[in-house]
Amino acid sequence: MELLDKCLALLKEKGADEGEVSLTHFQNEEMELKAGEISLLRSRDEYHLTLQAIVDKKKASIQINKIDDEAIAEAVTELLRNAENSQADEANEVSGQIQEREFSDFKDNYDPELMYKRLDRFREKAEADYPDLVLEGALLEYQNKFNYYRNTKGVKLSSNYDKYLFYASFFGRRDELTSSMNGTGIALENLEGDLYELASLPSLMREAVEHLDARLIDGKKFSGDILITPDSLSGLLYSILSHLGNSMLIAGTSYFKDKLNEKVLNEKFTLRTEPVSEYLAVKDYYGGDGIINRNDYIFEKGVLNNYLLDLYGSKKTGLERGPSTGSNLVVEAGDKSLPEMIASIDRGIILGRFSGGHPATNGDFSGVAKNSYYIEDGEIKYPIKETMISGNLFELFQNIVGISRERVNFGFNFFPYIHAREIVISSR
Amino acid sequence: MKLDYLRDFRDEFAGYTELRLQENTNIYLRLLNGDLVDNYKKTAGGVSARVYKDGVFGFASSPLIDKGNVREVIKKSGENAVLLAGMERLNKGNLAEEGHEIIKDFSTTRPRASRKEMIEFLQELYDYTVRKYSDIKASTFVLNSLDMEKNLVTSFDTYAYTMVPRTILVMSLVMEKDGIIYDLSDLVGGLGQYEDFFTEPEKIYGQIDTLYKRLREKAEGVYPEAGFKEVILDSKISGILAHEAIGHTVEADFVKSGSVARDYLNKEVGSELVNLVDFAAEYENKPCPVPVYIDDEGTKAEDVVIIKDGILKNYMNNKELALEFGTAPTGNARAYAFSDEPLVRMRNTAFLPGEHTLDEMIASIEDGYYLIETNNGQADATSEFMFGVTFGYEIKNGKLGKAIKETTISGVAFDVLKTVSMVSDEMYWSIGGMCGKKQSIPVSFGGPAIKCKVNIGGK
Repeated sequence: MELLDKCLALLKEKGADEGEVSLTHFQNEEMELKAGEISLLRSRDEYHLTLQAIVDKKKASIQINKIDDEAIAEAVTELLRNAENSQADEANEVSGQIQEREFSDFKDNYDPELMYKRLDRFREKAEADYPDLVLEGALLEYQNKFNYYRNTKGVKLSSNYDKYLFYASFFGRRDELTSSMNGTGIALENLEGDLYELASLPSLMREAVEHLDARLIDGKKFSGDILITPDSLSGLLYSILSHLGNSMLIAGTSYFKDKLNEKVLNEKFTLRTEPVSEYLAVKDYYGGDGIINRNDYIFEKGVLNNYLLDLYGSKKTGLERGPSTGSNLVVEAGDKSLPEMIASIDRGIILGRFSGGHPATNGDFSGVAKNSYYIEDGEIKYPIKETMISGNLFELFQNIVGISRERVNFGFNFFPYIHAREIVISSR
Repeated sequence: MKLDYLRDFRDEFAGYTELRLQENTNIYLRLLNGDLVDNYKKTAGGVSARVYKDGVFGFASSPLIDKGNVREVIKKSGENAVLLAGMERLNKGNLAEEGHEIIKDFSTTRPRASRKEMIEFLQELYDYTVRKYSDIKASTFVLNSLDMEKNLVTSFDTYAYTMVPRTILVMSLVMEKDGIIYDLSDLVGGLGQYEDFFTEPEKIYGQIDTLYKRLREKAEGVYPEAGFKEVILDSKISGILAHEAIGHTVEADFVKSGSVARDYLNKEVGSELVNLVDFAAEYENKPCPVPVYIDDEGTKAEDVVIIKDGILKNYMNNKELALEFGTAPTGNARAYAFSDEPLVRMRNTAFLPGEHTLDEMIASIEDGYYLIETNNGQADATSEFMFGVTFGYEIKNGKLGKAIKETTISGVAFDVLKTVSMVSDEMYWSIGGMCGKKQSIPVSFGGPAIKCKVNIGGK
């Protein structure tokens, strides 16, 4: 792309030893339903031009959203000044994995009438099926994304793909009773089907209404089992993955430091990153460092197979650059059905949503079990409220006893239910 | 001036229109164990227009601000409004149309610092830390600034220019004890630019010393006992209760949806010691950390008294919801980026101080906790909240005991407010809040120390 080549030439001309340029162009069309009314149609056209310069191993980057000559010249001048005033670091360099690749997965076109039809149908069906459900918000967005990457070592990459994003949030309301907020987000390749049936939406809406009758758990505090739903898994997993990224590995505070190829979690647990997956709508073809991502294992049967470092993190730690930096997570399905897993629990909870503080660096966490259910003697007894859980994140994934065959496809993640033991559960 | 440029389009509006020209500039520097691992600047500017028609909004934006593109944005937002109004057919009334002219510029008046000076400042903090504290395993110093510059022209003759900067230094230390990692963070800064806060590193050393002392206490501390406990929320964290637990439930969009606060207007929601206000721009005649003199719909922003002497008095709204609720707009409609539409957002939400001293409050508790630092919080339609607590102490027989390790507290806010039995005479404004409600936007919250009862997570 001519614009990027011009930026690179300018970086070199102004004194950069190395440089990289990335241009992302988004075209977004968004329709929003708020408190039952579809009241906003929003069109956005955005550019992100990111430039990085390295001078004597000193690095700086700048991002602007203009692409005219004057704005670029001004940004390059400031960038070079900032790089020269920066700190030298041997790990600063651009990717030398010389490749020219074009990725494309463009499927659809913006159709506001169809978006309205789908959103209206979702509203109509939710209102008809669940009179006690309040549809607090729903957002349907079409996104067409182009990205172009170039660096001074000759790497030339580009990608273009489009997708729809759908978010819905809702809660139950009957007389003066209100239940906890619930909701989900899904990425879609097209608008062929009803939004109503997507991912875990039908069960989440039913549960929001059931939680109007939520109760405190009898017995104030006990150690029990936890059944983590696909919707509540992502927050816990991202906390685990933060230990595989640049910051904690460079700082030396990662739980997984020096544990590559060791069994660190339960052998039932296998997690993959699938940046280019046939069944996920979101694609992550290459990183901001100009290196092409690949599908690979992060944990395979509990063994740590890969860190999720980018190029800088890799150079800084002497470890390999990750297959991705943690995008498109897929947890492999287990061999038990969800009913079998519930039946195997003597006493515990189904964790529908976790509302908690960031887990401590040592993995200790605590928080509120939202949209959750109490299980006793293998049966779901009742929806619960004002219940806290606490434990240790790493021990939780070591104490897994079952993973479900059923999985939910969110379009960017693909998750099953996970059953683990020994969580402290306390109620008011 | 950009505002004058925007004025030229005033006569091209057809019906209710807001036209905004905005630029956000963010500088982010991160020194991790003495290495500068992030050194970037982001600038995002452009123009957006929002048009109201029969109960719906059309919105469009572009980063390109030449006259042709501005006209295209105005035209596209109008087309979007017409298209959606034709499909949804809400046929609502007109929005408030009172014009104001406001100019507020909080740019620094000091000479601007270079990037080199900023990096050297962080390096001096790092050098001080490693020189004095050899048992620190890792340290991070982050300098994060955001300048929000907005120009607004509306079809009802509001002409506004605001430049509101915020600069924050976040300091995090990590320590290892018995093979277990502990960390703790603190921050300094607020309304203003780098030069307004960070001229002398020596002024920050005392805060690093306190951070280290507390981290050490935390590493040697105990797990709190899980259960329903009497606690003191320090003035540093009571504000998060004001924002997360109460504030969100009284945003009028949430009230319209059916938040629990919908049934509570003019009813008792807390003890008579509880007074809660969302300040627009000033507290005791001084600018708040996130001053909003005019909102992004062109409404002159007013303070909103949410709770007075324990009674819920008002909600925060925007023009659309003011129309719906039959009240005046409060000036809470705020947008983060040029390409974002204004949403009902809090500004500077705080409990008002009471009459007790902190020492009197600690002395009044037999068995409980004094909670001082938090790292995040979430709330719910039910007003059930949770905050992560990263530092605090046990209280035993009216005296501070051991420090506690990381935990979380939770409760149903409108129940917790009824347990408030003492309020301190201090006032502390938190400066680093970012509220995530569709768009992430700077907010501030504050208050005195509060004695109440909450659920605490623990072993």
